Amino acid sequence: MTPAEALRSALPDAVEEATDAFVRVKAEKVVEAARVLREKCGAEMLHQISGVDRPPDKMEVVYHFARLKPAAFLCLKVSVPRSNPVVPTLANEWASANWGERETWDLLGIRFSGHPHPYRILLPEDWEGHPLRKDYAYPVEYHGVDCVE
Amino acid sequence: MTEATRPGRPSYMPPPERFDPEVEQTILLTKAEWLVDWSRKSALWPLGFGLACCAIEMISTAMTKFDISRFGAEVFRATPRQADVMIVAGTVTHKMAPRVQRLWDQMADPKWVIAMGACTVGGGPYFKYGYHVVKGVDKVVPVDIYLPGCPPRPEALLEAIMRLQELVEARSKRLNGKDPGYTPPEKGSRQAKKDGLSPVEPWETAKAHKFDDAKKKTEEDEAKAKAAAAAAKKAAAPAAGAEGASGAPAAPKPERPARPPKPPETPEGGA
Amino acid sequence: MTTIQGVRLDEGERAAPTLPRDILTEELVFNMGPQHPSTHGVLRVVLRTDGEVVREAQPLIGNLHRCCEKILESLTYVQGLPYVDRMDYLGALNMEMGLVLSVEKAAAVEVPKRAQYLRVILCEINRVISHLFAAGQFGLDMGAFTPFLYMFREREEGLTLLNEVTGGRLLYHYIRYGGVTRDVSDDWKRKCIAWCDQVAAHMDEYNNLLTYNHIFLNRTVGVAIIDRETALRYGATGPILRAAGVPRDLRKDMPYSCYEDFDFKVPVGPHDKGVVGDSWNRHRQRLLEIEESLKIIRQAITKLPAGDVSNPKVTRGWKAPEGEAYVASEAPRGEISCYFVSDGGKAPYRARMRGPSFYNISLLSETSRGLLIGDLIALMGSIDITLGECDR
Repeated sequence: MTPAEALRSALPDAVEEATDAFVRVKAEKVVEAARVLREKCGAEMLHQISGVDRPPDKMEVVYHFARLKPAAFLCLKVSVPRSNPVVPTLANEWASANWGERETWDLLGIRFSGHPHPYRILLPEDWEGHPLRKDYAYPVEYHGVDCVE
Repeated sequence: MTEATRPGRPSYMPPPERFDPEVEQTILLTKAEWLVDWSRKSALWPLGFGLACCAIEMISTAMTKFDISRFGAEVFRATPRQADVMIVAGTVTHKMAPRVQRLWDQMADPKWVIAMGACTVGGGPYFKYGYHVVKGVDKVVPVDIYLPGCPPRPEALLEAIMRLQELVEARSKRLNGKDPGYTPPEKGSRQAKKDGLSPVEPWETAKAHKFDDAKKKTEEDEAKAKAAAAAAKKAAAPAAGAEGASGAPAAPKPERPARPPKPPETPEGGA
Repeated sequence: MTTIQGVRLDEGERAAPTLPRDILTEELVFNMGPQHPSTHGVLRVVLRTDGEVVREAQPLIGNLHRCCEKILESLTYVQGLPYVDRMDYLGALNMEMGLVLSVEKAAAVEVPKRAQYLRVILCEINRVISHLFAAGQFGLDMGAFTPFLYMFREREEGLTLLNEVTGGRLLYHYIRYGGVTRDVSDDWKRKCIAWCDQVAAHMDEYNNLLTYNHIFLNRTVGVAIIDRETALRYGATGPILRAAGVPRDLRKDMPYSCYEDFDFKVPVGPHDKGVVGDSWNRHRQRLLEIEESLKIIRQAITKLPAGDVSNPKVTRGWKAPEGEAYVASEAPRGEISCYFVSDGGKAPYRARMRGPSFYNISLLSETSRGLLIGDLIALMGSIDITLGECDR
């Protein structure tokens, strides 16, 4: 079944928007939606987690799941408010979400509640700011090394 | 950052209290020093410090086609304590910078640094929007040789090692005060050509190139004729009437700025 | 298939390390990398070991985070292309494909057939030289220096071929939106086929020297098994997944850039020695993939159609219209994809690159429990990571 049909039948009140390319679900239901994709649509691997900053008031987390046979990518989108971006974590069920969510927190500042190790992964621990936000201010100095060219 | 690592202090200059002047005057060290310098330059052991893409070219240099072994430098030591030269090959990020500095501190004197690749020279392609990239490894360690390229070809790395060898060879001469610094070679000499210095200064090229005055006059006449034709066309356009103001009045051509005056002759001394 | 004298091994069995009872031991926590000859770049692994046995290994990445995604959002489309080269610098053309395919799908840009074939040829050459490097480096980690030198001999010739077409030895900037930059000559085609023959002729040498070497077999057979479930759970793709028995290759499953025109097999583990998913199988997987890639190159060169090599509508200041796309392709180390979002501006709104090594490294912590430190090196060498695409 297509992801839209499966999610509509299993979680009818969680689906906000459904096109051929993606299904947008409510943030609180993302874990259940991923489970539905795994059971009903054959998604075996979480391929990628992307965060997208949509100022002024929204942020998105886009999950791409990979189905092996027949090969396809299933896309889930979650919209969160920019002032308080919190999404329940998939890391307890999908091991590849562990690092993907850490990276989204690191670069965009989206929190994943219940993550076993919610720390920065790419940038140093004491880095300030979330660089991929559209209003990021480039640092001037970091630990005595100046950052301007 | 310690005093020793502040940029601008080349690593081959000794700290002031290294050599006792009495010792220097009493023992004739010249030939032995030359031997030591020759052996140092012929067996520069690099620290295997490949960070990114330039590391792959560094590995290619160590392979059979480009063969860094001819220069005695095929022994890439994994530990800084046994290495002479740190070839920083690849982008240095802010997360990695303290480790680069620590490795440089752990190296034993005399030590040199080759900054390989555009990222280490000045930030490379990441110089503008790379927030996590250190814009040049000389903000972290003092650099002796800068090697641009993205990535530099293995031949370029070999050239950098050859230049480093010249630096190493002249080390004891410098330490004993024999060579006070870089004195530029005479203009047009063989050494100047080897260093890549042009025999003609840029502001002298105008004199060197002979302008043909007769040709210049005909060009001026042609330009005047063109301007006259354009003016005639403009005069004819309102008479045609249908197009309207199709062409804005031609803006006057800006004048070419005057050639800058020749700077005064200053003696070029070593820094 | 070569005939090597039979090597007898107790496959799948490894002696568990034991200690006499009256020795008191302590666990040691220490650092491996970021400067280390075997970490394939600036990977830092914090190890907690009980003697020589690893109890926990935590990989810490980010030492090569070069802000690729932010830069792609800041510079124009054409200006941003060189930055994806530098993600996996060993397979740079495949990285370019990763970005370019997504953008082309979102913007519905047509790519002429000759350009697609050229992309295939050069990406496969790049795959061959990347696998040669990876296999050689794995041998280097295991202590065998000579195969690395020999594989570099073929690699240098391949780099010369790529240099002639693209202008770069390691980083190419060749694949652009709508096609490629330069065409190839007949002379180059002849040289390329000669190189393919040369590599194929030397495969026996590599197998003799390294793959079926008694010491190498002892060190890698049955070591650090990544099975199907672990690989799928952690999102590991590419040779790791195929050596674990999953027949997934995006060139066959979701063909892009005319890969469906070519006839090639997808080697899948288990191979003739060892257990499915162990380090030896991953190494053998790469060498078999080299042979398949050579087949593809030969077919593509013979069938190369005439035509343009680029789409004239895509100019230097080209902007993609509004839209988004997600296309994945098969890079030497796994699946690379780009989640591309455009809002019509001069730069991508979001170009989220998925580097395969990011997910390949993440399974290090689970797979390394109970391994000896030497086996951990075998694991890292056989996973074949490149930190550029992990940290971007």
